[in-house]
Formats: sequence, structure tokens, C-alpha cells
Amino acid sequence: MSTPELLLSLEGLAIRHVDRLLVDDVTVQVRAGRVTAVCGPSGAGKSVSARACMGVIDVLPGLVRGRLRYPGHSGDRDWFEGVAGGGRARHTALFEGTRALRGGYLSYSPQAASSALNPGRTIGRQLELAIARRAVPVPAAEQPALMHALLHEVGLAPWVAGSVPGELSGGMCQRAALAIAIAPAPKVLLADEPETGLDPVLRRQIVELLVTVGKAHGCGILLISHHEDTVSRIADDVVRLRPPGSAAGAA
Amino acid sequence: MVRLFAALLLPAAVPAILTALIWALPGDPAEIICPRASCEATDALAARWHLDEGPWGFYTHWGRAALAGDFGMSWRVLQGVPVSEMLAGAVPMTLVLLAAALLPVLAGAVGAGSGFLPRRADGSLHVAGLVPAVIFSLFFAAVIALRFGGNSFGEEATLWRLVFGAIVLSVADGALAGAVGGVRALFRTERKQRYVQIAALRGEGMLENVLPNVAAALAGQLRARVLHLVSGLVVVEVVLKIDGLGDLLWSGTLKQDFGVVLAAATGFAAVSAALLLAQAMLEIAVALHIRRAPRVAAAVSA
Amino acid sequence: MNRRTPAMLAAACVLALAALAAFAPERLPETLPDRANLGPLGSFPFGTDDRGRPLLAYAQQGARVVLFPAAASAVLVGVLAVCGGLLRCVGDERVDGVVQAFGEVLGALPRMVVILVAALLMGSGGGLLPLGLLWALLSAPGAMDEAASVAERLGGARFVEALRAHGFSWSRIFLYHIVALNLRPVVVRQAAETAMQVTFLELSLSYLALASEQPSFTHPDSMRSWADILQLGYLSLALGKPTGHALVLGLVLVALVTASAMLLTRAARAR
Repeated sequence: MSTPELLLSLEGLAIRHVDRLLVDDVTVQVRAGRVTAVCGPSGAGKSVSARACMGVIDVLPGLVRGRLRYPGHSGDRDWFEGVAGGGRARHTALFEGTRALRGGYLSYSPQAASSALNPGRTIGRQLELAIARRAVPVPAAEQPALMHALLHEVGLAPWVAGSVPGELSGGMCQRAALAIAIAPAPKVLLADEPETGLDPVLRRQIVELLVTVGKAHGCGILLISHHEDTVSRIADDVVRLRPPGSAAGAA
Repeated sequence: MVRLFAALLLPAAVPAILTALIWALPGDPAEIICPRASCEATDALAARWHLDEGPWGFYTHWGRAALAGDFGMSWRVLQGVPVSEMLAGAVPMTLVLLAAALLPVLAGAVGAGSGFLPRRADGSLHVAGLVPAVIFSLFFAAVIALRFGGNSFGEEATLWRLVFGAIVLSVADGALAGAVGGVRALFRTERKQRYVQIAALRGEGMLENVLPNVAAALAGQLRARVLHLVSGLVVVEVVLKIDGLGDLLWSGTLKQDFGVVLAAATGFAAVSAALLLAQAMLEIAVALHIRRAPRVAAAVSA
Repeated sequence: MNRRTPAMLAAACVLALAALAAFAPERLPETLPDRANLGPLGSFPFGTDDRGRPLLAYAQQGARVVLFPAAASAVLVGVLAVCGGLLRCVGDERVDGVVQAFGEVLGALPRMVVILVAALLMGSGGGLLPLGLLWALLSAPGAMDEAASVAERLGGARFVEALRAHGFSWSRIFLYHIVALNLRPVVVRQAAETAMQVTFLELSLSYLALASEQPSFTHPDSMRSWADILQLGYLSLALGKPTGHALVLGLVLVALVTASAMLLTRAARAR
């Protein structure tokens, strides 16, 4: 059986904030059609690692060492080259350099979506903007049908497109955020603790929906979670983080 | 809704309140406006302006005439000259002065919101804003007096009066500092909102996400700044000898020319009403913009 | 941030102004032409005007003109700000609506226009106090709004409920927990700024009256205002008259008022 395509490779990541290592020697690989879970206790550096995967390092002195590649986009190019020790300017350059990848090649599905979605835009408008970031533009005539399909896929009725996030429940917002994350047809879908703030039933539904929809679109899924039961149920690969100083590795 | 209501009511309410206040003062309104001791035409004034018909009679006659552009005659400032003529001369100057003063305020606000204006500039603006307009004005008035002579009103002198007036209006009494500080605080608070940080992770720009959500608050701040500028007009115009609406209001107040004061105050009320209306319209536009949603329809199967 | 230093400095500034006002002469001294335009380094602390009258007397009378009205206006704004904050803690939407509508209406007009109309109706004998109180009323919406925001951040009616559940009395909750502990910086800042603005209002109105060679709305003809000092300063700039020391004195008095307001605000913010 052929190995699924490698879409994201983060090797040996170490990030420092002031005088403390936030993460040390973290390695994450995301492959098409597979779920890679990054788990660990609070303070282990899950969110920091996830943001680093997206080219976002917003602490200083920041990157100490590591390699970041997007083989499905830019081959063997190491996006962290020259960033370590480069101060604010280099980290800003990394952020700006990877901007085009975010919302397109890489897509982010946030936790607690009620506060993560723009309160001043309808769900439909946010979907529209996400669709506009597709690598292959969607003709205007096909957009209504595409939006309908996306909403249906995540279990939302068409009327949700005319609502602002404040008018929806937490679960509906999470589903809408997933639809917005999938809309640009990303290669890598990064889901940051999607179960946060949801009841146990909804938690299971959302995670399963995430995996189903993600795989149906051929994405590689990077799931950040601290729920062991979720991770053991759905993850194909697991990266367990511990607070810096301990060893971390893939399951 | 309150704002819209206030905007429509203000130009009518201000002369109504003034009328009520004139009648609330002890004595005959005609004698208050034109005391027999110093004024010969008290009875003629009373008849001409329907002062003998009570407050409602006066107000309705004045209001009807005002709608037709007739604000009566000046009783004391320039006796016998139609107030509408005085307004026609004063209003354009004031509008030019206001527009010129608004430019640095808007530039400062845009600079603060976009981040182009560095934060370290705020301190200097704040210190400059502590200086009252009267002090700035007297310095510039002295400069004009030295350069052109105190009562020179040639083209160049008038231009410099307007330039200095605009500088004083925008900087003194904290107008510019308030605009910069207010907008910066607004954007800083909004940038800290979670949805902005998440939008960055989606590759979206900060301004495109934040602007619709702060537009209404920005409009409120802008209206407050313009009102601030309008309030400062009187001092600036009088000290720098600019023949504008503020100078007219001051002359009317000083000489107790109720006709001029009524017209000038109504003019200011109209400016305030226009600002309120603009803000209300912008809020409606923002609300409609927020509600924009594309069409969603199931695909039609072949 | 240390509270003591700014508080002491503010107290010193205010006391200096109060001392000036307290010892103000009822009338300016007689003219002494041989002592005209003396600088501050002579026998008169702040120099003399073009008629030989000491500028100290001008400063004292000017302080007397502004001190009480500025203080009264500050108190009015402070009280209204406290009301605005406490009303938000009551949690009644109708009350909130009324306060908001009050703010919208009052805030819709340029303040100077309202002040001038009031001055017109009161005539030249009205004095600064009613105009100052009117200015405070016009400033109230902003002060009430700011205090209400602070109360909102505390938790409004929920904050009060929580403290009641802990057994505190209404008066302790409102006076100590809300006003003294949380609203104090806002109230003091708004009050200090209003006092400063009323002082500058007097300065402006009197200067305009001087420029128009008319009696001022804010004080009787027998009294002098700080605007007279500034007028002397203007004459030194524009006409080269030897009254430059008057300009310096005028600016120092303005700086003293501004410093008082800023130091009071800083002292109130410090813990």
C-alpha cells in the first residue's frame, strides 16, 4: 500500500519565550487522509506547536530550532530557515511569508467558535470569503450550490447562512466554523480542541463530523486535543507532548 | 432611533426652547429684546415679530419665515440688515474653517487606526491639547498683527487667519489628541478580540475584519470631534477676527441681538442635526452591511 | 504608582490658587504711573501693568472669580458621574434607556453655543457660577457614560447581588465597594477636567469680551480676570509693549490649573 502524501512536516521544533522553553524537540507529520493528533496536558505546548505549523510564532526570542516544510505546496523548502535568532523582524517575515498558505493550503478550525467567528459578518458571507481563497476559483453561478452543500455536510440548514454568529448556539457555531475551514478546499485542516465548551454528546458528534468531512475532502487533519478517549478513537498518528525537558514522539 | 429622532427634532427644538426661555424671563419679551430705555422701535418690533401673540405665535411665525429663508432683521449687531444676509456671509467661512480643521483630525484618526501614527506621538498631542484655544489663538493673532497689522483683511491675511484658525481648532482643547487617542483605543480593544486573532490564522487582514465592527463607534467618535471643533469656533473666530458663524453668535450675544442669536443657534443646531443624521445613516448602512449574505441554493439535478 | 507625591503636588497647586483667591483685594489698587510696566524682579512679585497696578492683584482677583464656580462645577459632574455608575448597577433597562436618551440630547449640541445662549439670557450680571454649572451639566453625559462602563465591567447588578449575598449593606456596597474603590478614578478625573474647563471657559469669555471692549459675562467690572493678564501679554507680542512679564504670569497660572487637574487625576488613579 502506498504511503499517503506528506502534506506538513514539522521537525525538532523548539520555541523559547523570554527565558523558558515552551516546546522542545516536537516533531509532527500530517499526511493526506490521515488524522494526526497532538495531545498532552495543559502547558505542554500544543497550541504553540499548532500555531508554529501555520508559520505563526508570536513570542520572543521565539524559534530556537526546527524545520517546517509543506511538501504538497513548496516541496523541500524549509520555511523556518533564517528565522531562529532573527528577532521580531524575522518572525514577522515568517508570518507574512506564510500568509498566503493560511486559509488556503492550511485551514484552521478554532475551538469555542462562538467567539472565534467574526460577529459582524453572516455565516454565509464568511463562507463566501473562504470559498474565494480556493486555489481554483469557483464560478459565481456555482457558489450558491457549493455553499448549500458545505452547510448540509456539517449538518446546518441553509437559513444559517443569513445569521450572524451571535444568533447561533455553540454547537451550530462549531459546525459553521468547520464549514468555513473546509470551504477553501485545504490540504491540511488544523482543528484546535474542537470539543471545548461542548457537552459530551455534541463533543463526539463534532469530532466525528470533523474527521468524516475532512477525509471526504482528502485533507490531512491535525487535531489538537487533551481528551485521551477522542484521540484513541479517531487518531491514526499521535504525538504526545510533555512540558519541555521530557521526550515527545509519535505513537 | 433616538438619534434619528433627535436629528429631526433639533433644528425645531432649539428655537422653541429659546422662545420659551425668552418668555420665561420676567417682563415683556419685546422690552427684553429691545428695552425702551435704549431702543426706540420696541412697539414696531413687537408688531413685526408677533411678540404680542405669545410664545406660540412668535415661534410659528418665526419658524415659517425661517423655512422660507427669512430670519428677520438684526436688531443690534447691524441694525436693519437682514440676518439671512449676515448668515450667508458667515456660514461659508465657518464651513471652510471647519473643513480645514477636520483634515488633521481625520488624518490623525486614520493614522492611529492603521498604526501609521506611532504611539509616541500621542504624548506630544496630549500636551498640546492641554493648551486652551484662547491662548493658541492669541499667539497666532499676535503673529498676524505683526505680519500684516491687526486689522488687515487682505487675501493673504485672511488666508493666514484661516490656516492658523484651523491649526488652533484641531490641536487646542484636545480635539486632535482626543481623536487619535479615541480611535487608537477603539482599534486596540477590537484587535484583542479573539475573532481578529483567529482571522489572522485564516490568512485574513485585520482591518477588513475589524472595520465593520467598529464603524458605528468610529462614527460616534467622529461626530463628537466635529462637535468639539464647532464648539471651539466662537473663540477662534473672534480672536483671529474671522467673520464666521461663531463670531456672529458672539456679536449677537454680546449686543443682546436675539434675532441674530436665534438664527445662529438654529444654524448650529442644524449642523448638529446633520451630524446626528449622518451617524444614524452610517449605523443603518453598517447594520445592512453586516446582514449581507450570499444566496444559498441546492444544486438543480439534471 | 505612589499616590502620595501627585496628591501632595496637586494639593499644593490647589492651595496656591486658593491662597491667591482668599487674599484677593476687593478693588485694584490705585494707579501709579511712575511704576508702570515694572518687571517681576522689582518690588512687585509679578510686576505691574501699564498703569502701575500690581499684576498680583489681577492674579488674585482672577483666582477669586474662577475658584468657587470651578469647584462647584466639579462637584456637580462628580455627583452626576457617581449617579451614572450607580444607576448601571441597579440594572433597570428603562433607567438605562432614559440615561442614554438624556446623554444623546445633551451631547448633541456644541457646548459653547449653549453657554452663549445662556449668557445672553442671563445678561452680563449672571456671573460664572450658572455658566459653570451649565457646562458641568453638558459634560455630564460623558462622565456618566464612563462611570457606567466601569460599573458594567464590575458586573453591574450581579456585582451588587454578590456582595449582598456576602452580607454587606447597601450603603457599604454603593459608597465603598463601587464608588470609593472603583469609580473614584473616573469621578476625580471628570471633576478635575471640568474644573479646568470651567476656568478656561472664564478665560475665553472674558478675553473675548476684552477683545470686543465689552463687559464680561463672568465677573463684575470691579473685578479683573486672568484674561486681563493675557490681554497685556498679547499687547506685548503684537504691539511690542513692555508687558511681556504679564504673558509669562498668564501662562504660569494656566499651567498651574492644568497641573492641578492632571496631578489630581494621577493621584486618584494610583493605588
